[in-house]
Amino acid sequence: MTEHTPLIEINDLAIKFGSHTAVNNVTMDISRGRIMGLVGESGSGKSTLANAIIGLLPYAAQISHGSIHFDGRNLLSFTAQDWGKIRGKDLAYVSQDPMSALNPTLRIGKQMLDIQHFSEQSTTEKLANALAALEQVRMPQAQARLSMYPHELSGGQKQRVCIAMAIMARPKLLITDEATTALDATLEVEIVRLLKELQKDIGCSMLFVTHHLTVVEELCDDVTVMHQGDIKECGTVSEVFSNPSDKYTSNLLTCDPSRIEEKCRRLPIMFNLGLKELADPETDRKRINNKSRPLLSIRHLDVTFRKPRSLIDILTGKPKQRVEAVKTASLDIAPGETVALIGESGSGKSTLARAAFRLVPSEKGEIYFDGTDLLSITNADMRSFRNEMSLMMQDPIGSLNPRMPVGTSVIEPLIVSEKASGLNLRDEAIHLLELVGLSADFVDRYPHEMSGGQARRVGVARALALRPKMIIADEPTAGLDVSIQGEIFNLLAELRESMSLSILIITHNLHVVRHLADRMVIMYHGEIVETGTTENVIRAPKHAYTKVLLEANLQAKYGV
Amino acid sequence: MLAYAIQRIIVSILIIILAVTALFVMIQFVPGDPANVMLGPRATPELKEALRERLHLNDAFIVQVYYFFSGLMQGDLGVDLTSNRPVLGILIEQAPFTASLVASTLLVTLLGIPIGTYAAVHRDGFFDKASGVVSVSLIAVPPIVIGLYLILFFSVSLQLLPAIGAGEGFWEILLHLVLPTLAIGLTWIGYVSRLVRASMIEVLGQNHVKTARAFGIPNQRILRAYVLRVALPATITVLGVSIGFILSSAVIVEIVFSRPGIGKLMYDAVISRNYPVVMGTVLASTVFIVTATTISDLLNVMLDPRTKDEN
Amino acid sequence: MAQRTNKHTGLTRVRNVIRKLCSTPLGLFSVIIVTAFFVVGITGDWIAPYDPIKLDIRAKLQGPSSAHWLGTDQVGRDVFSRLLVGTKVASYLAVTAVSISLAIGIFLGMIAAFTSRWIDWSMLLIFDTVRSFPTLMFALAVIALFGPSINTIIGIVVISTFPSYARLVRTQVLSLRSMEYIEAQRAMGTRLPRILMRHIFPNVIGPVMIVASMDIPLVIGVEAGLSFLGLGVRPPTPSWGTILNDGFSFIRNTPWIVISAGLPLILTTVAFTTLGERLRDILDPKLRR
Repeated sequence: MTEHTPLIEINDLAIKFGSHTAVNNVTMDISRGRIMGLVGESGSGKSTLANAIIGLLPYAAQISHGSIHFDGRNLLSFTAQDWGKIRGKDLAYVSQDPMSALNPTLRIGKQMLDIQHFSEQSTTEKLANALAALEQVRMPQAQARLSMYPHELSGGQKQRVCIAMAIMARPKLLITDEATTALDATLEVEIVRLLKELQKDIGCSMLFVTHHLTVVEELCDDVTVMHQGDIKECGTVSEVFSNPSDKYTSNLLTCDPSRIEEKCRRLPIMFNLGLKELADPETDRKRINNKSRPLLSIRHLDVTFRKPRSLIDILTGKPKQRVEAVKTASLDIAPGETVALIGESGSGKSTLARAAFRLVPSEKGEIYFDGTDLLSITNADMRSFRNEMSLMMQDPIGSLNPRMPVGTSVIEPLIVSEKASGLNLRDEAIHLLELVGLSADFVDRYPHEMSGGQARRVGVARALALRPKMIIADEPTAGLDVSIQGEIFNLLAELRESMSLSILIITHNLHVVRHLADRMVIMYHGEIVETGTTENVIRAPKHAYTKVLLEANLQAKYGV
Repeated sequence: MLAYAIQRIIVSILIIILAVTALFVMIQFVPGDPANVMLGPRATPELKEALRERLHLNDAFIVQVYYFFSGLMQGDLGVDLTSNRPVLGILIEQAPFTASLVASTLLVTLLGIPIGTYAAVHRDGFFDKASGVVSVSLIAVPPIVIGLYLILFFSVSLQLLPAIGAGEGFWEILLHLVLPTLAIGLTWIGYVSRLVRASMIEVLGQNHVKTARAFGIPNQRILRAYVLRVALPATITVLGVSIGFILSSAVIVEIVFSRPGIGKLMYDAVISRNYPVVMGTVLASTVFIVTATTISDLLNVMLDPRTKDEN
Repeated sequence: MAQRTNKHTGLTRVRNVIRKLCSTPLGLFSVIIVTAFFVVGITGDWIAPYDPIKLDIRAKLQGPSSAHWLGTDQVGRDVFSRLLVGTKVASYLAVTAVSISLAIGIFLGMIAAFTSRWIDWSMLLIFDTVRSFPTLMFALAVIALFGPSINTIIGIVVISTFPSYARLVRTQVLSLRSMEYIEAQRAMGTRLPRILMRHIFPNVIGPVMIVASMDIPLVIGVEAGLSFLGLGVRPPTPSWGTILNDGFSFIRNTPWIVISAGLPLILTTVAFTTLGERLRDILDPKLRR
């Protein structure tokens, strides 16, 4: 109970989901007034551990043994009433997904009033507290927000509300579970800085759960690394990051693309650190054919969405709302070149890719592929161009038909383009899967039976089925663990060398793409604001937004 | 929200116009001479001619359309063929019997909400499992079977409750409502309790409930203000839809229990080929049902600020 | 080649579903009753111990006995035999009405999801209009016009159920259409019919079938109700509704007719509902814990 004991003491804790052990005999302390980062890949048990501390484990979870002490009291023996006395007072929690964390049917002000249920204050005083908290998290127009519903706020604003609610309690421990994961990089940096500032103001302890090593380095004092339910390493951030004692931790740090400063031709992966190979400007130059005309050339492209009018809009004569998703965008990709199209969500980068496949109609401009304007040809003619370029969608599992075995999915392009006759389709499927490093028995698997990384490989295999000249990949590494990101990166890097592929990568994540891309194209609010070689853009960004983006993505390593 | 409400009401009016037109067209498709169908093959030519004249069957099609709709606008649903009284008057006379049955059934149906809530909160407990089995058994059984079994048990063997007529005086009316209400309502209690349970469980698992818990808001309050509020709209939609089914079942139940009312009126009209009464009844009940579903939709929008535009 | 493995795993999948269905007592009960319902529906004429329409006035209104398990009715017909043969009407109606309605509903729902906004909107308006007719009242009006027959009942059931299927299919298709795997198909140039048949239809059919299996009790109920009113199956053809009606006239003195005619109605409706719920629990990953 004294100031010298840790605030949280977890002793030999094990949590099971049925027969699966999610947390395996974990012992860990959180000291008073310090920020503890809890890092691990998906399935490492980090969120389960955080949920156990606040007593909100999912229905199926069971604590099989161990103890958690908070301020000297055993949390595992708590009754519902005991929890009611410390949750929202001593313990505060900010959840993973800001979009769903607030009740959709209640106003913000009402929800912020409700959580002050212990207080004897009057409603006016409570409202004043809420307003003060919103101002403290620097919410624009805080007063007006109180009477708004959650759906009227943006994702970042909702997360600010959640944080305001958490700090209003002046808790002893603030738990944030992947609180910044769903946010764009620039926003993430803002929120992380805000959290650090608030923690200092209140003087509370904080448990920051994340998979993002860079954020931990920026924000935390201590760090705990988890892997498959075990704690691999625990210590101060400077200790662990500069001199990791555990092999898993050191591999994880070595493999994180954001921690590799030099441009690489191959990235190290968890099980083979020796793969790392630096990029060689000479081979890169040879790969790109700059002499002939560009393979894909987008000229002054406009894409505009019209929101359909409701009946009442038509009756009142309200004009159709127009959203300009892409504004006079121009972009060239040479044969063999890899270009990264970078921007945050809603910047129009995915729309640009969809427009190239005529999945969305373009309003103005031209898209030349190998010299032909794709926007002026018939659907039938377009079909043959679809064989020469492939689109890889963002969600690795969601972009495969859930009721089709993988072997059937990868040969779909062959059947669709009527090139399947005379081929042994099963052999072809196996061949394609082996090309992307999957064994033959994946042919009969279903998408839900694979991990994200495996499904992503299948996506690459399908994209390659027709031996295209170009692949457009929408966020190829999004949602994948750091260690898997490197594998997918290496796969794409190998393929572009062996098959002389042009690649357009659409992403908001600079870390991986920095190694792969020859050139970078930055998109902001539907416009292309900067284009240049990867080295030049990173070294000397010109546009103000590019600077912000680079700072947000690379600050920890390059300390802008 | 106001815009949504206006839009919803416009759509409802369109639906009513469409429904009326459909009924009108249906009359045109009757095989053979409508007068023959209505009066039977043995009616004298004079009688048939008189009927044709009265229904404007001898006029051009467009004139018929005009008479039909202009009559409707003035609340004219046609004239009863046997008594020569306006159909609307007869309907208004019979409506209270059916309305009280529908209202009491809706009231009983509301019981499903606490049952479903309790089952969801104590998931996998005894009450949840037992109410689950009972509800599923009741959901699909046709009201006619439940009605007959209720008569057998409560009227024939126990002789506790009346099984015939609607009764007079407050207590008698109430007593006479019990069995017919249960005959229709048991099914809906089961349905609503399953639905409330399912949507509660879904909402209980949602992230915002976790947030509320993490702030130590008392369980009772979370259930009332956070969970029920989100789970209720689905229930209200179902209650809105249920009115149509309850009205439908009233036809059967009124005959099983020899109750006066719209259903009985319609049945008698079908048997005696009293055609205007049949059509008038369908029309009136369709309008009633459309109004009920519109109201339930509008209630939903009031409860949930995220206006959902279904079209 | 890959096609064959697909079918093979499809079959194991069906087998798995059936095994899971039978693993709980309620699921097993529903599978048995539903199977029995269709088997008796087909074989009822042969397995019935007595001729269901042959009169035997001397044996009228007898109680249950070893000769007549469920007794006899007011003209001496064996109630048990009449119930067995009456299953034919119920199962015939259930199969024809629901499959016609499904076919129309799926077809129109797909069209609504893939046409222009205005056609979609008008179709929805028509679906909602048809749905707003109260089923039995609408049925009575149709019967008043066209006369009672089993085809009239089929028509009524089809008209009153297809809009819900169409609406369900439309919503499902619309949500599938924006899924990434459908967009991936469009990007590789797959033609619309192939997208519909190979990628959308198999993912839509499951939920619709579950709803349809839960609608079968409704069909059986409509038939029983109309036949009870004397506006459905014409006597002397036995159906569960007509038997109920026969028994209703003698409910005070000979209740066994009503009791025994109600039992198959209760059993089948409960079985189909349970089956639908179990299937949904097994197949719908959203509800799976």
